Parts: sequence; structure tokens; C-alpha cells
Amino acid sequence: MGSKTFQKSAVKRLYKELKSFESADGLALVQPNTDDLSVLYIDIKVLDNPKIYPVDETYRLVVNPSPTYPFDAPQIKFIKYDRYSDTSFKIPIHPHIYSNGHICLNILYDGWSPANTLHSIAISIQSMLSGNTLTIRPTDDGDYCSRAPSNPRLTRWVFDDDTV
Amino acid sequence: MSSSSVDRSPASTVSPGKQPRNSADSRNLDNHEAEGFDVTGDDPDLYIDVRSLTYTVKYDHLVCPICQQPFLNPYTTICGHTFCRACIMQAIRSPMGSKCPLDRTPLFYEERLERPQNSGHYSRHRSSSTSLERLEDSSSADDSPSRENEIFPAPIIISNITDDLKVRCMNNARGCEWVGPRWQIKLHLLKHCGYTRFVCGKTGIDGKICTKLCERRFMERKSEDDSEDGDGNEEADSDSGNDSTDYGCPHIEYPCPKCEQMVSQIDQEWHLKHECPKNMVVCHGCNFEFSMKLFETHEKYCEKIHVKCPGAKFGCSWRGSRDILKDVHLPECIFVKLSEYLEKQETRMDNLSHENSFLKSELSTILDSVIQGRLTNLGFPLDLEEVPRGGVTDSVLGSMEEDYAQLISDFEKLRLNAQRAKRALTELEVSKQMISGLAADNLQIKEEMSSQRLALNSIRQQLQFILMDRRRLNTTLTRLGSGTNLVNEDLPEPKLNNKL
Ligand SMILES: [Zn+2]
Ligand SMILES: [Zn+2]
Ligand SMILES: [Zn+2]
Ligand SMILES: [Zn+2]
Ligand SMILES: [Zn+2]
Ligand SMILES: [Zn+2]
Ligand SMILES: [Zn+2]
Repeated sequence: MGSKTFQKSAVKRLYKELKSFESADGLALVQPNTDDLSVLYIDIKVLDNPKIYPVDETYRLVVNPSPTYPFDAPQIKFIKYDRYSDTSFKIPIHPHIYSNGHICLNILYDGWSPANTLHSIAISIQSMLSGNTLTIRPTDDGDYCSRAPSNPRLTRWVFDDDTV
Repeated sequence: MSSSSVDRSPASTVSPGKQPRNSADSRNLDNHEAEGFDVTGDDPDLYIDVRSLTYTVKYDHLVCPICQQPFLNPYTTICGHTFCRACIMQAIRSPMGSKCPLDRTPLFYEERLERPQNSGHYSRHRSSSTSLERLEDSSSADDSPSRENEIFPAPIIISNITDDLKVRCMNNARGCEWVGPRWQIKLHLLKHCGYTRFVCGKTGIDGKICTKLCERRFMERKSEDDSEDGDGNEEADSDSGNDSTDYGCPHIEYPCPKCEQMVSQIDQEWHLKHECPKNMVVCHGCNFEFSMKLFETHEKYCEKIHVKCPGAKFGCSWRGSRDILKDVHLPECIFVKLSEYLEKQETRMDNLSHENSFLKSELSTILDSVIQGRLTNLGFPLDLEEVPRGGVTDSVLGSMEEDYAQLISDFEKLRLNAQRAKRALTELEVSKQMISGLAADNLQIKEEMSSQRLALNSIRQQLQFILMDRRRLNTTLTRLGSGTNLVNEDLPEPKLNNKL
């Protein structure tokens, strides 16, 4: 996992993002192992939806950038347990977030664009939680979690505009 | 190389010191050689990594959305977005496909339709001078493409502005202080920078061509002391039948003129400063002799060395030896006494100006996103309604409502941010005024103090004048009343006054 060889451009952009990530407004980008860019964390707090998400609850996204980042989407999901710091986290409840932490958001998969940044992704997910009104999981949660691969990018996500 | 260096070891006393050094030679060099630019192949274009340059100016609006660096050979799309050529080319070949990374406009592009980049200025005038171009390169006109590329070189002003951004020399860590426009960096590195390393290529002591890397400043330096220092030099000389002037390899080692440890031109400077035990300097304070490497620490502690007053940055011009500074000057220096206050003021000013520039940049990013339509989700809708295959689809209407609510909340957030920025700005303005008010007050007080001092002086003069008068009066009185004893009672009084 750590033996991934990043392209030069990927290293440069990731370091730049690490340096300039604006950690205000309940978002933070963390590098658990210095010099290892293959695992990064984004910590998210939801500050304006206290009915569903307590203000002081921190949710942790694990980010695995691809060696060709930003030209390929990074792997992003919520995690329940972080072995580096031995802390547990909750998976935020949302009709598009599965209980295994996979997020149903097209910019993380087919909708990825090299112009996305970890910051813009973090903001998208944060605002997705801020705007949520339903305390439910996706309807096929149990079914999906029992057969889902660990990497959500391997799931064949289907977009509405394909089926409608 | 190793055999020849043993040959020319000049005296047996040196070899113990020399031996370990040679074995760890490369590591030794690494210790004091910093990262920089090396020319290692035939085509420097391949490895001048322009993206690793450090810019000395802000470049907020000239950043490629993909690599997040100032544009390099900028290309623009029909939807009006600009990227580095390399970035957009890699992007349209990525899984995203041939679309604009910012707004997903489908983009048609075929490399064979691209106009030749280096055929003079014609390549820059795209649509306006098509006929001219047809005349220019008739070969491509024969193809008569039915479509034009939808990714093409950006307006020349954009590349001009980005090429003019000021950058630091890549050899900055090695000591080069050069700062200049980005378009000059290649010329500087390849032709002028004394810190760029090239393959040495000169004849070494063993008669072979040296393949080590060497900074330009050592290669161009005339090597006068080379021919004097070692007897072994001449031996090898006669072997290869070369003239000694050909012997320019700066890697050739010779005993340090001071301590006889083996050094080369390249590391002599560093050796003398940090390593050599016999490179003596006299401390100009205490007149004792030290080796250069010890002097650096001594300089920090020598009691007699001349130093500036710590209040120098606030205007104290005192200079003197460190012990006098401590015992005499410091207790009486007004600048040092005020330094705490002055420093506080300085940090406050610093903070304010930082805040100001931060707010400015915030404002400009807000403006930027307004102009470019670059909101947090990059201008295309969040497809929250997508579900994995086999899942149940939400109603489209509901998701649209959700999106709408999202947009409203995003907009609200932006508005709040802008308001906050505005408020902070007015606060800044107020505190600025306060500070300038304080400064004005300060000035006024100073003026008043000096006028008071003047008044005091004139009073003192008047007093002295009165005293003089009185003394004169007394003497005349005594002269007058020498017959009588009347004045005797008046005498003690002027003495008292004199004390004033
Ligand atoms: Zn576009
Ligand atoms: Zn770029
Ligand atoms: Zn330079
Ligand atoms: Zn050499
Ligand atoms: Zn020496
Ligand atoms: Zn001294
Ligand atoms: Zn002073």
C-alpha cells in the first residue's frame, strides 16, 4: 500500500493541498504518516444541522489518492475505526451514505474531474450533510454492505440520468 | 582513482587523517551540498522542472485548476477555461474523457489538427487569420479539417503574464540569490548560474575523463595553485602526456595548505570554514587566535567583541564591546527600555497587515469565483440522487428540491462570509485609525515635552542670571559697608542659592 509510486505531478499537488487546506469551518486535512501520501484523513464536523449531527461530533473520511491524482479520482469513504490513533468514529446517517462508510456521490466516481480538490470534495460532503433532513440509510443498505467491495470505486454506481 | 590518490599522498603523517575521508567521500560531500539543478544529459528541456519553481510574487488569478500552479504553456477551451497544455491534455485522456474539467463542456480535440506551435506568431492568431495560416502551411490545409480543435493556445497575454512571474533560482539552497522572470530561468541555469552542476568532463589525475558533477563556479575558476601543490600531479602529467593547463578537473584532491588534509577545489571553501583545525583567525575583540570552526561559537560569547546595542533596530546607534554593553550601556539605553512596548506595537502592526492581506485575498477569491462561476462544487450540480444498481430510485422532484435547498444554503453561506469579511474590514479600518491617532498623540506629547524642556532651560538661565546679580550686589554691598558690619547677616543666603 505504501509502495505506491506517485507521479511527480501528484506529489506536488498533494503537498500543495496539504499546505493550503483551509481547516476552518469544521474541516481538517490530516496526514497520519509523514512522507506517506497514500493515506490522508479529512475530518468533518457538521456545524449547522444539530438535529441530526451533533455539533461536536467529528466524522473521519479516509482518502487514498491514486498515483495519477488528480487525473483519477481518489478513493474516499467514511471510517469507523482509525488504527493509527486507535479512535472510533461514527458513520454519519444519510440516505446516500451506507453503513460501511461508502458515499453515493457521483463526483467521487464517474463524475470526478481533475479540477476537483480534496477541499472541494470535503465541502461537497459537508454540505450534503448540512442539507440532510432524513435520518435513514439507503434503502438497499443491508444488501449493499453484505456484497460491497472495500474500495467504493469498484462498485458500479448508477446515476439516475442513466435509468430515468 | 583510489590507486593514484595513494600514490600522491605527500607525507606518511597525513595518511591516517586522509584514509577515512576518502572512503566516505561521497557521503561527506552530501553533508554540505544542497538540492539544486544539475545538467546530466543532452537535452536540459527534459529535466528543467518548471513546476518546482518558487515564486516570489502572488499569482492568485493565474493558477491552473488542475496542477494548482501558475499556467505553463496555457491552453483555453471553447467554454473559456484555461489550463496548462500538459494538464488539459492529460485530463481529456483520463477517465473523465474529453470534457472541460470545470464545467464538463464536451471538447473536440485531435492532435493532428493542432497548428504548429513554433512557426512564429501565426500560431497565435487563430480564427482571425485562418486564410493567412492556410497560405503559411499548405500541407495541413490539404487535409482540410472539417472541425477545429476546441482546445487551443490561450491568448498570448496570459502566457506573457505567467512567463513574467518572478521566480527564485533553483539553486537557491546552494547559495544563488538570483530572482528573475520565469522565462529567463532556463537561460540563467544553463548559461549564468554559478551553482548549476555539470558533468565535469575534464581529465582527472588518473588520465580518465572525470564524470562527477561540479558547480560551474568551480569549473570556470582558474586553477593556479593546482600545479604547485602536489608532486604526484606531475607524474601523472608525464604519463598521459598532457599539458598541466588541461588539468582543470576541480575534483583533483590536494593537501589543504593549512592542515594538509586532502581537499579539492570544490570543498576547500567548506573545509576551511567548517572543518579545518588549522585555519586560524584572530578575534578582533579579545585578540586570541581560533580556528575558523571554533570562532563561529566563540563569536557568540566573546566578551570583548564589538556588537550593536539590541535597541539598534529602534534607532540606537551605540556600538562597543559586549561587556561594556552589558554593564554600562544596557542599563541606561532608552531604546532597550522602550523595546518591549515598541515590539508590541510592531507585532500589532504586523498582525494588522497580515489580516489585511488575508482579507484582500479572501475578497479576491470571492470575486474570482463570482467571475469564473467557480463555486465550491465547480459549477455543476451535485447528483445526490444517484444510487447503486439494484437500488430504489428516489423521486427526481425530491432531489431537485434538495439541490435547490443546497444551493440556497450555499448561497447563504457565501453571503455570510462576505458580510463577515466586510465587518472585519471595517474593524481593521477603525483600529488603523486608532493607531494613527495614538501616533499623533505621541508626537504631540513629545513636542510638549521639548517645549517644557526649553522653558525649564530658560528658567535656569534666568535663575543663574539673578544669582550673578545678587553676588555682584553683595560684593558692592560689602565694599560699601566695609566700615560698618551691616552685611554680615546677608552672606549665608547666596551660598544656599548656589546649590540650586
Ligand atoms: Zn469549461
Ligand atoms: Zn496545470
Ligand atoms: Zn542561480
Ligand atoms: Zn572532475
Ligand atoms: Zn585544512
Ligand atoms: Zn574574542
Ligand atoms: Zn542602546
